[in-house]
Amino acid sequence: MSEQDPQICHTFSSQERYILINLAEQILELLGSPPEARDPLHDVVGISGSELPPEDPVLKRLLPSAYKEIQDAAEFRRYTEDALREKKRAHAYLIRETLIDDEGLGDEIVQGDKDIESTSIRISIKSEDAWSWLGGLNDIRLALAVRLEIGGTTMGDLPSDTHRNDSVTGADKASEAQRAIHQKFELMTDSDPMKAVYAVYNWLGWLQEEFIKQMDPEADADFET
Amino acid sequence: MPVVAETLTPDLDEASETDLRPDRPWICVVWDDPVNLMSYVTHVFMVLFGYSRFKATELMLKVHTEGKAVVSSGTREEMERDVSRLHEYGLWATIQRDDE
Repeated sequence: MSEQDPQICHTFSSQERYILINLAEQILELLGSPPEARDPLHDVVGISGSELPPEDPVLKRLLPSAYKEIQDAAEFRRYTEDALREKKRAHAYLIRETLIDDEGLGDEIVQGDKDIESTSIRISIKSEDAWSWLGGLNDIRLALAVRLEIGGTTMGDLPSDTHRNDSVTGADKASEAQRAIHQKFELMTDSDPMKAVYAVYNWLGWLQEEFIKQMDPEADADFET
Repeated sequence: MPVVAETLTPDLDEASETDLRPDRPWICVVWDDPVNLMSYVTHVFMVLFGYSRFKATELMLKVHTEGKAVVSSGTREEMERDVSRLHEYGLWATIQRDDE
């Protein structure tokens, strides 16, 4: 996607590798089967028929409405949702494949989780795949954020125009909300499963920053969540 | 967007790129959410729209501080294309008429 030739290298520990493969698979499962598996006529017609936003809150955020007007949103969704699902599936699939297939370990690993858990992996992502990786990581972060209720329960609902009138207050509120979220999870006991989910969410944010820095050394990213 | 990731480099030549031609009645709006990282949003704008680092950063900060920003304008078809690409990369975007 870029004129430069970004390439990303990163080493995942066995545990990180296992977690990320698992999360990519959850996204794939959530997005469902490709349309051609459901209806052979789909490719010819190119319409999914689904007009309503998904009920699942994660899907609602991954496949948001493009218009405020319900009718326009429904029509747009009917013609485009399947293509969007397909792109997101491709991103998640690429992440999974990169982490499984590199170094030719694919067959061994598919047979059982044990092999993945005991093997760290160094991956290199080709420039043409870099944005699929970033988009796929972002989808996973969005999904985790919905489950963690970061941003409340309204994410994916139609935005309101009255959202933040005063710019200074808006920025302050945003960082205040961020601090509050961080504190909430910091205060959880280590046995709370949500604390672990939050740690993974933060790690994926760090990973995204790291990848962006490698693709664009001028980015001067400063991760400080 | 929890992370401040860009250093602003003032570039006056690039600051006035916004296209406000009257024959472009549809706009694409990106809305703030607390998940997408600032550096990520900036790079999505740079890569999808070909915006300069300065313009992309400016738009990202507008989304962050004001809750939303108009990121492109054009025909309805063009805006639908932009929104689809923004959705592909997880940004929260909508289309509306410019006069709304």
